[in-house]
Amino acid sequence: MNSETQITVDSRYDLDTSLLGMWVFIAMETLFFGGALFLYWAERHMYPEVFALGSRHLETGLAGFNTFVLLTSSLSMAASVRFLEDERPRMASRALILTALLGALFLALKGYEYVLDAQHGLLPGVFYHPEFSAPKELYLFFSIYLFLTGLHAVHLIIGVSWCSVVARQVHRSARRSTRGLKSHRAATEVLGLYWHFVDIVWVLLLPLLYLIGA
Amino acid sequence: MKALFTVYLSLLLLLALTLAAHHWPLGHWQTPLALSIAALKAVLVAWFFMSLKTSHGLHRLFASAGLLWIVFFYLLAGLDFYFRVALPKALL
Repeated sequence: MNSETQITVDSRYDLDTSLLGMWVFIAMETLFFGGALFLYWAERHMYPEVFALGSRHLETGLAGFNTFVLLTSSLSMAASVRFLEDERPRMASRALILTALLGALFLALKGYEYVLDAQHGLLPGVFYHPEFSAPKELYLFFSIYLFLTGLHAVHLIIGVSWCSVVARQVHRSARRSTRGLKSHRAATEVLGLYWHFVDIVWVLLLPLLYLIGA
Repeated sequence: MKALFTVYLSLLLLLALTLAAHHWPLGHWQTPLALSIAALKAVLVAWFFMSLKTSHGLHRLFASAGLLWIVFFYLLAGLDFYFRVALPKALL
């Protein structure tokens, strides 16, 4: 076995192992979000009208646009993996930067949405004082809303930071050896799995939180 | 790359459909429809963007294991939630 073949076999093994590790992590994360979503279902089952009322006071248009932003970021993330497969690190690095920027845009818009919620007195805690006559259980809906979207936002903050680091590494390795490029391919694919998982979580949160009451 | 764009456009169409269906008078069918569209979007992302379509069998097994455990969890927790009865005071 010559050295080039050895590198290819090792890289394939590294890539498969790294991806398997990320799939295990995603399985754990599925259970983590699953627990929070079960709490949501239980409360919604007990207070369906209250949940519909709360949903009507959320910014559905903004959430729809944010879904568009996140789906676009998933496309650029998938494209970056494809660029690395084709050994085009510069394009991959640009696609990763675009992904991180779109993730940051999502977070900025989500932050703006929280400000609007706070202005309407709908954020749980000291800011909670709805402008309309609300049943006391509405507090539950907004607590679950803040918990689920906040948990998602934390995951996205980690994703944006991670994406920026990998984009820098891929950009730097553009002129280096094939071995370096292959190790960055593994890092990008693992990051990609995480990013798409966070995207899927948002895709599920959109109908559960924003599209209950027409 | 063309396949990725096709999947992306399908996802955008499904998003538009979800947002439009929100204004249709569907009654109790609104949530099942919205969740079905969300599930379809999730499958598209997992199958094409997360490369499950071309990935190792072991990766598919681990991806399915996450779903399997969540089904067990929802089944057991759901049974407890829907069928729990209040215990007589004498037993407390």
